[in-house]
Amino acid sequence: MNRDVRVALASTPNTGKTTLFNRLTGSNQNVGNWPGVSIQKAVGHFTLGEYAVELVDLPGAYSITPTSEEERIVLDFFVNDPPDVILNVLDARNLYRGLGFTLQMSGSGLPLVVAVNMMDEARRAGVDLDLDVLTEHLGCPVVPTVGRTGEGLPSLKKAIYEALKHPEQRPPYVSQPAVVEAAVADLSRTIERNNTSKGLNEGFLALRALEADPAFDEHPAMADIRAAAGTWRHRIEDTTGLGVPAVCAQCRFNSARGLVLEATRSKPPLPDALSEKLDRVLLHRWFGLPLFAVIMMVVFQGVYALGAPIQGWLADVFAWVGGGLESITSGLPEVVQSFVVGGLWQGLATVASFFPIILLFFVFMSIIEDSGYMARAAFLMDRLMHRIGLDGKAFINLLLGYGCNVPAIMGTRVLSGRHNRIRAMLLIPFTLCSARLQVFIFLSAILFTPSIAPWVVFGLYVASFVAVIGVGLLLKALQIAGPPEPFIMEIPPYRVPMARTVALRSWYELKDFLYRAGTLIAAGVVLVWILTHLPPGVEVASASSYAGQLGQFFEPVFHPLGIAWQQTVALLFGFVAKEIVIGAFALIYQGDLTTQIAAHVTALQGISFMVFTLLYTPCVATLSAIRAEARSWKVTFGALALGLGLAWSAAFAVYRIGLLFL
Amino acid sequence: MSPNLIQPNVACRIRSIKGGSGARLTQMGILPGVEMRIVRTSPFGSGTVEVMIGDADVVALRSDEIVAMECDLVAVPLSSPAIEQADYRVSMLAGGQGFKHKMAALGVVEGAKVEVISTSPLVISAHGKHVRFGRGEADKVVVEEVADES
Repeated sequence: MNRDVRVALASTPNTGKTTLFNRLTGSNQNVGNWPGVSIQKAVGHFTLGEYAVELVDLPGAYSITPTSEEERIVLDFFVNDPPDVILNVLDARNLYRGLGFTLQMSGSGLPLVVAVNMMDEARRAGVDLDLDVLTEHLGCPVVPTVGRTGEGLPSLKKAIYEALKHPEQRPPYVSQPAVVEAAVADLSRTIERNNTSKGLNEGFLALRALEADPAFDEHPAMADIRAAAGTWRHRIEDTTGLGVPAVCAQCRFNSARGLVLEATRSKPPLPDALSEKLDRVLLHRWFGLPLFAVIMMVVFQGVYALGAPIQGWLADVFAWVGGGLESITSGLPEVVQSFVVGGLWQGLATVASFFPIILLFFVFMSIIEDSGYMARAAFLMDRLMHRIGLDGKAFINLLLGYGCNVPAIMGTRVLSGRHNRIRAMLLIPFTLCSARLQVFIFLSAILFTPSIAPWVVFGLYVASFVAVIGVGLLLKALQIAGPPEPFIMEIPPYRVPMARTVALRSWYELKDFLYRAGTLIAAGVVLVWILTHLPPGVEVASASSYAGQLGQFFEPVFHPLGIAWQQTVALLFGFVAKEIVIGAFALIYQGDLTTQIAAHVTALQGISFMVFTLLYTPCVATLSAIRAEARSWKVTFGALALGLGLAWSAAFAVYRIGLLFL
Repeated sequence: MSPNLIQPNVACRIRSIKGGSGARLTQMGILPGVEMRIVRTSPFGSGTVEVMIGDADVVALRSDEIVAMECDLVAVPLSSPAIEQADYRVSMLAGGQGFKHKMAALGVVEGAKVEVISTSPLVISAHGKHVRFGRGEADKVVVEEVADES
């Protein structure tokens, strides 16, 4: 009989935590979100003797005294849902930064195992550590590991097994000012008397009560000591002149500094020399940006120039199978056959059409992130992005949105803080993706002379930039998604990305897309099929179909923009995927498309229509991605309303001002 | 720290941290008493700053956060507005071999004492010789104040 146990993987960012997680759980993991937030939660499983271990990968945190949403999740997890063992990871080259968090967790009363990771890099850099010193002072097993190669993994597993078997540990002593000691002693006594600790250390809970984060408010221990903790908090502030979190951080990091000094036998004089050399070029005041532009161009081309042919090939396969499906279902009534082929099968094909670019997108994103260049790119672009209320990392997402919005939205999970993620998600739909570009090239070639057409497309790109910047400024002014979190970003040393990590990551993102956004996309495609093909017997997308009726119903809304109801139906099709707008025109205006469009649409109406197409609702796949990432219908509908509102106003302005001159 | 002091190679000791980022910095172990050196500033007007904390830890933050800190200057380049007509000791030459050779010929080596004669134009005296410095060179000669000679 296996016993189910839970181990929490907790550490500061940039310690190779995820690599270690993959090493421990292999492919046996699933990725989701923490309840109600846009932060990824990965859970994996492995067996350890008689234990069936569930390994929970907690978000990167500097402490359980929260200053970010991620850290609040970690605190909430430890106090309200404590695991059986904590596995903490330290970066061998930067013990100091991580030890503050380690010391906090070692006082929690939960058994702790510490992995000192990236030992290979530390050794190469000339760092010589005495881990026995750490073991002795922390009172828990400390194991050297190399996540990238798997070195030290057996000893680490053994240490976790031992901690599960014999959970008693001796927590380290962190000296604190007398007033803090007195407060902790007093509050612990109450917690002990009322027996509300739920297996956690009373002193640890007392400190959480003194810090009084909202995530701790629900804890049973808090109810009895809230008033006393408040009094002590004021006394500590009066005595030390600092807030409780700052006082405790100073004590912890003083201990950490001492520990690092004791545990370090020798240490190189300089930080990573290679990184410093590379940064002198890649972050150069003048060369840095052009090099960034080149790298981004390679990534953009890598994703879309490689992805497009595979997409085309996939589309052919789906069309071929769809043809087969059509002959198989030929015995069924026409409506049913059309539903299966044009609705369900088309929905699947739409979902599948995103596979190549999502896979490639995350291959390149992982390489950029794992190599350490992501932080550099963020540093270079931060100043510009800050002006539109984002931080530097979001630039890459916005840029790649110009290829396809869907992976760009999925990529927002690498951004730090809910604020940045939500705002980037609201801005990305205004980037002119390649699907919209197809529509614009097609229409402007029909409506304008060859010498003017390229300028129309160029103008639409400018309109897209203006929309991104304008909406960014608007969101910033309205403080949508709250005030910005302070921008403090560690700049990790450069590393060669590991093929294994990159492949695993891309594979999980693809699976994740399939599970979380796939159904919604397919449902959207089916919905559009229903609107355009029903009630039974109508000609597709004709005036009597639901879509046609909707188009006519909304005619008063679109008339001021110079958009006829037939084009409104085409826009409805465009919800599935924007490039379908062209195909929809072919369905609606029977006959030769070029002459039909030229006859029905004036140049100005065409521009108004294209401006509307540029800005209106994100396609169903983008909306599904927003829903999956933000985990909020409010944000999803916000994106929808923002797009429609802006599209209507912009098209109205363009059409009405245009009429004045024509 | 005053905004006009923010430039590469300025080193300072943090006295107190204020502003919105204080709580986060504190939890990262960036505390009063820690030494911080500005490594580089970003393009588009130095809004983002890369700093080294202690001797190995590199972090990027916005200049507003640095302005919100109280710091004691430890070392500044000769081009810094903090430079006055006084004696200094050269703590670092932030340039390549060629630059170091050129400076050595003038008697400006790491550990050497120099006296600033005038700040605008920048004229220093090293080994009794008066030398005039351009902005580019002054950026790379990092000096610290000479402790009181009592």
